[in-house]
Amino acid sequence: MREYFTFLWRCFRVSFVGDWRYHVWMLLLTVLSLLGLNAYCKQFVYGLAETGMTDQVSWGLYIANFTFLVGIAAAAVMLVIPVYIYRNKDLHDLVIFGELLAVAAIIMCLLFVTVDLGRPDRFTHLFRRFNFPLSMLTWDVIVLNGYLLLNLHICGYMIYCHYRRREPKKALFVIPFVFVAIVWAISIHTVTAFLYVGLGARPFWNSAIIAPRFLASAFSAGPAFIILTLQVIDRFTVYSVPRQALMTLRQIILVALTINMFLLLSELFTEFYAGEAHIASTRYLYLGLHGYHALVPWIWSAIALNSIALIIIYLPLARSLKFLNVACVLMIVGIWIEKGMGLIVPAFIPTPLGEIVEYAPSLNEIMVCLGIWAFGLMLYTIFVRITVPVLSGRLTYDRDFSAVPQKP
Amino acid sequence: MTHAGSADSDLSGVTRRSFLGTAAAVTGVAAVVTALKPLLEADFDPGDLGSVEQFLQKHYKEMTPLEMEEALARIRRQVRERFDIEPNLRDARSLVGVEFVYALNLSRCIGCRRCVHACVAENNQSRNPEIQYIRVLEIPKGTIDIERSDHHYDHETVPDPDHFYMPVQCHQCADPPCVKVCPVEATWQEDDGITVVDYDWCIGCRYCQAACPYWARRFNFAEPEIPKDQINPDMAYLSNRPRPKGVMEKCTYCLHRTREGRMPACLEVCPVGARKFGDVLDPDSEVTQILRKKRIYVLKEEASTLPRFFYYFDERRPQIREGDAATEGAAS
Amino acid sequence: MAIGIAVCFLALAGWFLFGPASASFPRTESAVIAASDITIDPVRTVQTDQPVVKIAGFEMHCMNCHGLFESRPETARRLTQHQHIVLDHGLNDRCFNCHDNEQRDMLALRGSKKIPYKQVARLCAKCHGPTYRDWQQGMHGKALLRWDPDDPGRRPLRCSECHDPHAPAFDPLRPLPGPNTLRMGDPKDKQHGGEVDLKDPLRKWQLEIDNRHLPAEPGPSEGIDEGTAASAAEAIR
Repeated sequence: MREYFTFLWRCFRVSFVGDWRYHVWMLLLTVLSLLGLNAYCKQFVYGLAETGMTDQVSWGLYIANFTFLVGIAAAAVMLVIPVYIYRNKDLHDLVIFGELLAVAAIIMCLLFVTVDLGRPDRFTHLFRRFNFPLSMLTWDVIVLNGYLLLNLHICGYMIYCHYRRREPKKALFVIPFVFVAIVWAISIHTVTAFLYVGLGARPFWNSAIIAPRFLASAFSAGPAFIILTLQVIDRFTVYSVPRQALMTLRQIILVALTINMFLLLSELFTEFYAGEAHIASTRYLYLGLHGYHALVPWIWSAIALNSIALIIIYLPLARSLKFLNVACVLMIVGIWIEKGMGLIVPAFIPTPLGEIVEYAPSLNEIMVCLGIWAFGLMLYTIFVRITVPVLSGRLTYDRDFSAVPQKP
Repeated sequence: MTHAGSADSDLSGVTRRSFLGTAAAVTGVAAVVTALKPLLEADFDPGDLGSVEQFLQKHYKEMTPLEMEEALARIRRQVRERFDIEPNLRDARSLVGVEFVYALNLSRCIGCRRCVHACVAENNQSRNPEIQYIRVLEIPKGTIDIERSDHHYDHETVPDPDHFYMPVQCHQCADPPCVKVCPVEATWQEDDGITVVDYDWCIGCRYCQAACPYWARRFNFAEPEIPKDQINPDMAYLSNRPRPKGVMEKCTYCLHRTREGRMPACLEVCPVGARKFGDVLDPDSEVTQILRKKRIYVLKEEASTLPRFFYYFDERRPQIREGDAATEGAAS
Repeated sequence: MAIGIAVCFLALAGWFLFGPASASFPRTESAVIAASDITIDPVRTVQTDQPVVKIAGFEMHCMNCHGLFESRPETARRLTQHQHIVLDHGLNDRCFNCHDNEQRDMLALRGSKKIPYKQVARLCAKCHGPTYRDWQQGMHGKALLRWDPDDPGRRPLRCSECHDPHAPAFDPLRPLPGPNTLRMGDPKDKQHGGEVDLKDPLRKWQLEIDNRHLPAEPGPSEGIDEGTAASAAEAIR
């Protein structure tokens, strides 16, 4: 037990060690997190009126970010599946970074849900009266926390074993959990999609295509995010990421993004060609409704970004990292818009009674979101900061990290 | 979460560097503490947010009579402190063998919005930010598409000859989607058909608001504000007692009145008698007669939530005097 | 490095302490509703069995005058009394269709049958049969106080407690204020509902309605003048 606390203490200390770039980066994230904390305190005191949400548009940026991050978290399996099912060697040593990303993303998800609550002080009511299995939100609570625990276990166990220079008992403590986590990752996204799809009151969501589209877009944005972080790890740590690994991820993105665009096409065709009655929200999103068109530029830029990214990914050009990175950034931004502005907000416009009230996040709301993103990135940075020296054998039980010179 | 200072374990150099590190750490902690400053401005309702009593209070359905008395006493104290009145607060329990149903005559309603404001006055809704349970939709004649409705009409007089009016409030569905989705069972359907909210249990996730096809649920985005002289002291635990910030609320068919045999406030105020209320299990009640004999329209029947709120029509057009609005205004 | 970090944190702390006061959402004056606008009293005076008229502070009953002075049953001349009464009841434009000629504090039913004012509904039923049936079963009109039809406290309103029997159509009302639009952005309501599908044969006439509700331009005001002139002409006729 004592060894374990020593381990935690060392991890804590390691997270403060780094060169000036590391410190500037962490300082930036800390400042943003604190600004977010401050903004949240205001919201806590004055109520959710501090956000741009109204009775008409009762979910906004928080839930949008939550949805996007569930996708990022679920995408960790896109590293795991090739390794554990297809025995892909290139990705083998990188799986842990995907799992750590999942941990950070899930923590951000939970924070986004918490800041969206009107009465976060009453969260204990979840333990005292849990509407399971009727409420999809209770399913979401279970799958998100379960996924968090699974990944924390897998990562923590692997890292601690490396730290103690033990051979991890993979067959017992890792492999079963990894396979559970693969199914679980699909479930977190499916359950989150069902959260929206299950609402008959919102025809915009009440469509079977939402869940598959969710998965497809997650499996493009997630690996895109991982491609970028792996390159950062490759550049700034002793860890080297084989180029082939990035190309495998590119293949995954290629398929996922193609499916995503195809599903989008199917959705648009169904909605617009038949011109059925409940198309008002879709119309509002893509074309504007009765002179209201706040989301139109956003969704079309999202579609443009995703299309450009898709084209780049398809071209042989994308074998060069520079172009691959451009495509990844375009795709992440595109899918973030598509999930947030394109999926959550328009379902509320017009309201079930036909009233059109547009939504724009307040400054305070944006600060809270930035704060959570900064906090999540900070967590991920720290996770990587700890993991790299442990896995490369420079921080072990019998060897304190500071004894070793850092990579400049 | 600070990362201030390079935690140097270079034991030889316990000097300037580690001192600066400590300094950075201290300022970091200071920044965290000052970030929490808005919490000082919190004007927490005693006995609400942060109070032990409120935190320990059980779910409505789990409270023993004694615990309910304690909760009522706490709320009475709160009301006395905030509004300087002695409320007649009670726990109006569900009636047995009664199923409340509402019927609204679309041929009669003139869209005067008296029901909206009578409801606000009766049910102690927040005046600012404004919460109203009833929305009156103005719909052009020739359609019944609520997406073509106007909620903000402001004519000199109503009814406008080119439109008809459709007030919408909670439909008290028999298969309520809002109840299904609540993660903590803070909202449920009672035996007499009324869907209620335990304001002391709701966590404010607003999932029910997204699930409601009738847009009948309202959220307290800020601390509700009700002038002291406008508070209605006739209160029940599950209906119109003052609500805290951050919870949902909704129409309860005035259960503090209707469970004691009285009419809902929106019905009594209606100047044209367009609203009908009663027990659908009683064959002689107004609503049963209407359901049997009139032509009924169920709003969003395709949502199959089985509403207990029906719209109906008269065979004849009601007589509303038409003519120059200004002259009419002067005459009345 | 550490100095930089410390300075940053201090600046941040300073911002938190002395920065702009807590951002607050917009509030506005709440709508003021007069108590008289949401009173539940019957629209007209509660009908007693015998109508009471106040003349110079004295409470007079019908027969106080009509018992002394003979008035002719049907008359072409202008009324000398009851001049405030505006008769606007469609075809029913004769006083003694409803009032009993001999006993003025009674209503005339059929033949020479007399009924008290309390039973006015039976009189109205002479012409308004379906409405009367609806009213009997609670489908028309309004009952106050109790919802249970068997409750003795229930107070169904009679015809003349809502309708003026001389001019039974309701007057239009000034609507109470609509919902607050403070946090709703820009309510472009005039455009809302204005979209008519020109291909839809049944909806074309709505274009005309929608155009009528657009803000008045200088042109159409003449139309209104014409309208009033026409109604004035009708009134003269």
